[in-house]
Amino acid sequence: MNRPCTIKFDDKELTGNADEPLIDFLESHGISLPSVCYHPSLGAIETCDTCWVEVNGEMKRGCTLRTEEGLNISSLDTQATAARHEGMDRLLAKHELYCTVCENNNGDCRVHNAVVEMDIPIQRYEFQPKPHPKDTSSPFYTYDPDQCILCGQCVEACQNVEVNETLSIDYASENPRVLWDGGKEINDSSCVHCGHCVTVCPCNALQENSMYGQTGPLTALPWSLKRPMIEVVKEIENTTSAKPITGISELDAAWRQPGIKRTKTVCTYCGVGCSFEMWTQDRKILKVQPTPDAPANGISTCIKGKFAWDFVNSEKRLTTPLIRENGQFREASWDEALDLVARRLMNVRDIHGPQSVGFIGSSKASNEEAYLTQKIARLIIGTNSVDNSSRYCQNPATKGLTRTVGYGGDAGTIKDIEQAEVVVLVGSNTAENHPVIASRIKSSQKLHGQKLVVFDPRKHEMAERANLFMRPNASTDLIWASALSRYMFDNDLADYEFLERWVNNIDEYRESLAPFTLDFAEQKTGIPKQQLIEAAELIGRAKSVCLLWAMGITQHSHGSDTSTALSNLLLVTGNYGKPGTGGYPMRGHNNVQGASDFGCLRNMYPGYEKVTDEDARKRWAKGWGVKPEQLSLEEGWGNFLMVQAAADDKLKAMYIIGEETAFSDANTHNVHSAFESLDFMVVQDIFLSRTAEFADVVLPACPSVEKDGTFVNTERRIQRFYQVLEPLGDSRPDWRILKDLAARMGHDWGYTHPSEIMAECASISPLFAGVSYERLEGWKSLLWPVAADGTDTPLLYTDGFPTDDGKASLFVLEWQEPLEAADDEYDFMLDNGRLLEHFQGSNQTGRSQGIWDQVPGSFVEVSPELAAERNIQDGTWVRITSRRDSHEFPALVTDRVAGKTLYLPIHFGKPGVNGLTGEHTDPVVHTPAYKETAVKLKVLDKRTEPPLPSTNYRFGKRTPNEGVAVEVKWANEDYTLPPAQQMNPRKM
Amino acid sequence: MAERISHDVTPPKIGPDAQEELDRLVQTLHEHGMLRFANDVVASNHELLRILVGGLNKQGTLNAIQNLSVIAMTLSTLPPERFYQVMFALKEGIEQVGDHRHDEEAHPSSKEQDKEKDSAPGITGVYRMLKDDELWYAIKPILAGLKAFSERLDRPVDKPVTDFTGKPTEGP
Repeated sequence: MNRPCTIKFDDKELTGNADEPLIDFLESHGISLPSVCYHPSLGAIETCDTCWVEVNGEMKRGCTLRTEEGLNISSLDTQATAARHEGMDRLLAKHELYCTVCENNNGDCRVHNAVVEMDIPIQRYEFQPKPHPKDTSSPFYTYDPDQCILCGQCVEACQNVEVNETLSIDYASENPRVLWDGGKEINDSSCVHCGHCVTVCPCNALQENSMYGQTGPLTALPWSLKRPMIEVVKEIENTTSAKPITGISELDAAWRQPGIKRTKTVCTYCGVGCSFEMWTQDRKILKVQPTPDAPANGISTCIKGKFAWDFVNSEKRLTTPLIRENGQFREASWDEALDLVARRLMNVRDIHGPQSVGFIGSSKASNEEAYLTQKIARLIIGTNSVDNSSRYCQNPATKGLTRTVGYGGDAGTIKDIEQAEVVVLVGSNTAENHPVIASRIKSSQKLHGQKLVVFDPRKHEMAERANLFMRPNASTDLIWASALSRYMFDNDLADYEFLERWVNNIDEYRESLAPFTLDFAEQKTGIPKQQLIEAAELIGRAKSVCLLWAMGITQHSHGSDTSTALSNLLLVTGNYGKPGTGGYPMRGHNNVQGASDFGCLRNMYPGYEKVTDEDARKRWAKGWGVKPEQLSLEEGWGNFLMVQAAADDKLKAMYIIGEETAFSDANTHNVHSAFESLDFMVVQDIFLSRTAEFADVVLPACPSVEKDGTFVNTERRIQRFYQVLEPLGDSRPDWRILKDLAARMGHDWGYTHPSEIMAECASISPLFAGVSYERLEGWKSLLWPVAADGTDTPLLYTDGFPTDDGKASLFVLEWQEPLEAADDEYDFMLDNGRLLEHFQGSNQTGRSQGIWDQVPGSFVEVSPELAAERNIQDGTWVRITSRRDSHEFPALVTDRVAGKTLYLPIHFGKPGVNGLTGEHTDPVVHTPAYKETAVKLKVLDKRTEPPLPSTNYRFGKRTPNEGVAVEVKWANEDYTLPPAQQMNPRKM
Repeated sequence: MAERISHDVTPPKIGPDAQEELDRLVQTLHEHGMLRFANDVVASNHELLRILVGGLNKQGTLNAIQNLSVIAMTLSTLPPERFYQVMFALKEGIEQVGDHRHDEEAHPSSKEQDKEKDSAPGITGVYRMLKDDELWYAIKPILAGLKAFSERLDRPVDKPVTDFTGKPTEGP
């Protein structure tokens, strides 16, 4: 709760919130206290010495002050003014001012701005280069020691926000600089290229490579020309003072503004929902700049969100409709292509019935586009066979949550995960798949003592950091989860008060736990009993627990049941409905949550209303202005079943939007032959994907940065993204393609902007009643359910559960053997998943050379034990054979995997993991059991270079520290407190 | 049966092409006859700047710039009313000097009395002049100015910026 307070600043009374950082407080009143090292997301690190003020006769760094009633501050005090100038003089001894030829002089350079605000006539100490070369080793950013002011914001961001723990500064050294892994080149260190350091750098010491030579009229000049220009200006400043030159650089910053466009957008990789500004100049993407205002990520990004946007301007983009003709594609006009699609789809429907047409909506496209996809399927074609890629990943989690607590979404927000006493990660390689959420967990653990428990067959970064790490045998997670639930009841750790008040079916559930003894769990999971007890005690005694799970749970033949078991455990321990608690299935695509929320599900209208519910059908029919009978009451087929129906000749036509089904569905052999057997297939995409190669018509769509819309992230947070660029060539936004197609099928809905589509959905679906583009403007966001008055729900279940009696239910389960397991012949389990650097089939990340530099190609991870047994070394080729097919890969020996578990990244199509996976699925939701792939391994007589370059971050050695060691700087005998002059300002 | 097709997409045009850039220039520059000049300048800007920077980097140019700056700096410190007073006094002084003539052709109407004024004062004349309050009042500011000028000349200047702003510097 904010308390008001009034402070006095330079004899002026200012009223605002108490306990607010002074610099932020003043800024909200339009007053700028010059500062360089203060960043609202990093707090006061006190290294720059440019914000001194006088408080009650005492000199204080302004960044350390927080507002309180009666605070009386003077910035005009002679001593304070002199100290600020001395602080700035020391910075300028380390940072060469050449703003007009600098890429960072875009109005937000904090060094430049502070120089201007302080009206510095001339710097006291001469700039002298440092004895360190510029580090240009990273394909994504550059470090220039000569521009580095040693403020340490990059170190703080790396150590305590991202918590990759790569950067440090040794203030005690002779010539301090920022160090990667204590002194390696950037690209040879543990740096994950998340971009935090570049984002917070107040000047151009850390700069995105994409900015070089781009931003100002003089920045493209070669250094052979820039250098003499700089020398001329410096010489002249000896007479004129720096002020005229500062004035010119102010002009320069001003005239750059019309050319640089800054547009808020939302990342289109994983489900964290990072939003940021994208800086562009014409079609050039200059950089991605996160801001503290972003609700999900603040200043955080990962390598993909920060740097992997080259796909937008790829020459491989589809920009013209293509029509299959005589075994080839020919370019066609939009009119011809859309007419053909409309005619053929209606034709198939009329001849074979509505069930013969299937739609796959995109988990990368917007909510509005998902809504139109299902509207065309349901209203025009009359089928509920409309789905999205959540079928391949998170539908089991949704099922587990709807069985127990009601809503198929994260129970709370990232803030809840941050503040939980204990976080449990199950089958989630969070640091690589949801890096920004991983950062929040790592930070809470490092700074606030949060406990981290990890269950995973693979020792990934989060496992290495865990307080307790357990490696269950494959497909046994339901057992330990249920055993832990039983332990809670048996040891009085169950939250009976919560259970009594909020939960049904307790007794039956408790009885069903009888088989799940710790001994049984130890025997089946391979986790020592004592570790299970330790985990149970940690979870049972914690005041708040968040449990996160991902594909390691869901992509199994009983992923729904295991997801249910995890939610049961949370209910037993009372971990729903309170801050810092809940179940969090980590959504893997930027809008896989939204595609489901907005109706691309075979059994649900938008807002999770069942298609079999007559009342729901009536409401949707009324909203759409049709008779209820026009909408089918039968559930449709999901992705997986659609492909099977195509193979069985039951499905005749498919319309696939932005999904690489031919790559990502299990057992690609069968998928390809199913596609070949379709009468008619339409693919709408930004690239000629492998799926599109099977199409009869290919429609060129736009990526998110070329259109407006909204996404829903893993938190259920709806965020707007704005059009950054014009559509490339003749490509079109998906919503417009779908609208034009519907019109050609006799339904001219007349939308002129996606906001009208959202308004229509909000007017029908109670879950989104209060959602509007106005309420989502800029950085604003809404977490569903959203009431008609705009009240949203960051934390679910605070007032009960969305069931008839307002109670959750414990769901009775039995453990079942996986549908595919290792045996004597296929004696290895092939785990598979993502890598940090790439995304899915690499259609997006694969357009960035820098990404390929980090991970040049496929490989299979083998354990050191196996490597020793079979004489496998890095680069030794092995043949992996499943019950479907056989592929060859170079091996990478790593202790991330153990024993007879292998790990294969999913990003590489030639050969791809889904040549090996099978068609066995979860019987409840038909999600393929990708993780249940038994294989055999043969070592080949072939050896190449190690598949991962030695410079890959995985080989780096992190250098954890507490952040910026400003005390070391102050304790150094060389350091003098301003305003006294500094002997060696380049060091201090 | 729709077999998989391998197809290379036509590479799209990315960003404005030269023609579109020219169109923009045409709107703003061609009507003013600047298009050709602008193109030449744009095309050779590195070379032009190299020449410009080369010229700037000569000691004489640097001196000139700095000297011009000194003038600007001096002017920036004088209150306008003071400078106005001095400048108009100077103007009137110059007018007086310009109007001054001592030969008869220039002053055909001059009388014997005026001729006497133009003649040398002699020792007694000098003595009389020294007693002339009006004349002394006119000379005094010139002497004060000479004194200040001399004192300023005696003051060593390392860097003008330091002398001007009072802030010492090792240089930028």
